[in-house]
Amino acid sequence: MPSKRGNADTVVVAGRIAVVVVVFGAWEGLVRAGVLPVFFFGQPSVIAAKAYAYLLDGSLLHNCWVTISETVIGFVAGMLLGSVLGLSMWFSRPAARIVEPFLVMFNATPKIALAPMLVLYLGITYWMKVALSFSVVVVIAWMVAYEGSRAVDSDLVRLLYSLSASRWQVFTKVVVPSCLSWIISSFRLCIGFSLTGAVVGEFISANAGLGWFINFSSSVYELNDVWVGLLSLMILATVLNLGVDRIERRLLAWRGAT
Amino acid sequence: MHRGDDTAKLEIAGISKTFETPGKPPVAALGAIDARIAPGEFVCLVGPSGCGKSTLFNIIAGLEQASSGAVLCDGSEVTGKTGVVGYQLQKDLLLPWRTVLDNIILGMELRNVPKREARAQVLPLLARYGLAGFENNYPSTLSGGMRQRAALMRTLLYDKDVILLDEPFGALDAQTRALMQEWLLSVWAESGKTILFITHDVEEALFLADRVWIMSARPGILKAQLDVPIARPRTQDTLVDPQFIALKRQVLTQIREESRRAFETR
Ligand SMILES: Nc1ncnc2c1ncn2[C@@H]1O[C@H](COP(=O)(O)OP(=O)(O)O)[C@@H](O)[C@H]1O
Ligand SMILES: [Mg+2]
Repeated sequence: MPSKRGNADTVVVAGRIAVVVVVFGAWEGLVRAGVLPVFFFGQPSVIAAKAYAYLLDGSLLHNCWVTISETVIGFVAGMLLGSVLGLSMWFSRPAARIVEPFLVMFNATPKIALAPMLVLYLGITYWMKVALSFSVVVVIAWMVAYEGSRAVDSDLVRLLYSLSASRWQVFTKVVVPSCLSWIISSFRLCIGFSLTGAVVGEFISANAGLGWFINFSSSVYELNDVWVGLLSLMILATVLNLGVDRIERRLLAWRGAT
Repeated sequence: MHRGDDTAKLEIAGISKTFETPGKPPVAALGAIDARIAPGEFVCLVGPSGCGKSTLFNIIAGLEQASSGAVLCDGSEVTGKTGVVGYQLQKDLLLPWRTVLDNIILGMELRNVPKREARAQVLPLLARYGLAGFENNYPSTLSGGMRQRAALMRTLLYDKDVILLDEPFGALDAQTRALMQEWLLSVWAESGKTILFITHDVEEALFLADRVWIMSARPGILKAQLDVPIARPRTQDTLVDPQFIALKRQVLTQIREESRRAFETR
């Protein structure tokens, strides 16, 4: 059994490598043969060389770092504030019902539309991108925490009261932990939105970050540079996802081995 | 210890309950219930489903407000008060994000006993509940029987003289259930606690109880009370004892009548 499984894994990995080799090989070949104009499509060998050069001069890492930090700060701050707001709605059903329609409206609105206003308030600064990424995450986290707080098992709440728990104890021992599993499950979704917020913010106006780099390169018709930025962004997004996945798996270990 | 037969550990005096939901006809769940339980007694409550058994427990535990009547513990009124009795609700209700050990100490934690201290106190007792070695497991990895024992341990360690158990073994398979019954009796014998136990299984009721209360169809009232004068300790042989079988027939007849009434009034 294990060897069969091992074989299957080897085939899968080999297949994946083959996909990359074929796609980039064909791309390179077609450009060299003059079928694809390099001006519009770029060329893998040049992209690799440029990426290497930008790695050496530190500019690529700097741009990655700017985008990552905007994303992570926006994500963490949005998650914290959104969760606190959503959870606190558990305390008062009437207050929650007053706020609910506005929350639904905020949630339905594309937060990117806030960008011009954020530029007005914060200028074309680093913090404007953080704010954009934050504003996307905070509404989702708020919504998720609120829905989680409504879905708390009412029997668990009864149990706590039967043990003569106070309302605050019910909140901390039952409502918060059971909402946390909802909130944590939204991490993956939110980190993606957070990254989108940061990159779009950099598109609008910036002087650093992968979004800025892609936008700028494209405006000067440097397609090879655009590809360096895009591929870096893909890697960065994957790394963020894996990180968030790990955190999720750790925090939700109680759900059992799945 | 004994303060004479007239001192009830728990007294239910004229408790009734009608659920009023706006826009719906009121539901009379409980008629007027009067009953007394002596200290250290084991009483089983049987009755057709929907007759208000869980409602009665919720009222005794102070989670639900009675429409009339009072609950007295050791002679003083405790109507509507929580934390007077240990109560295990119909489901085992372990917090899924807490380990077995942390679930068991929940009651102590709510009384502000430091976690570390509570854990140290509980750890040596796990073996008695068949949970040794599982203290760091999450509930999702336990069998049904173990989950029930963990929940029972939490209820018993809450350390109230009166314990209410609402169909605790309802979801267990026959073998596990039989083992759990014997185990519960031995724990009860050691602890000297007063237990009120809901079940829909007449055999289970007779096997466990000193006394069986039979409830009528909704609105539930105590239709009959029956002593179970069968010697303890009871074992699986008790189940085929002629006296046991005769009692069982008697209870089943009454229950069947009530169940039919409950069925017909649906
Ligand atoms: N919160 C409630 N509102 C309205 N009716 C209720 C409520 N809780 C229970 N009931 C009704 O009261 C009756 C008794 O319920 P319950 O005590 O759970 O029965 P049992 O535990 O004996 O099966 C049932 O008919 C049930 O539908
Ligand atoms: Mg019930």
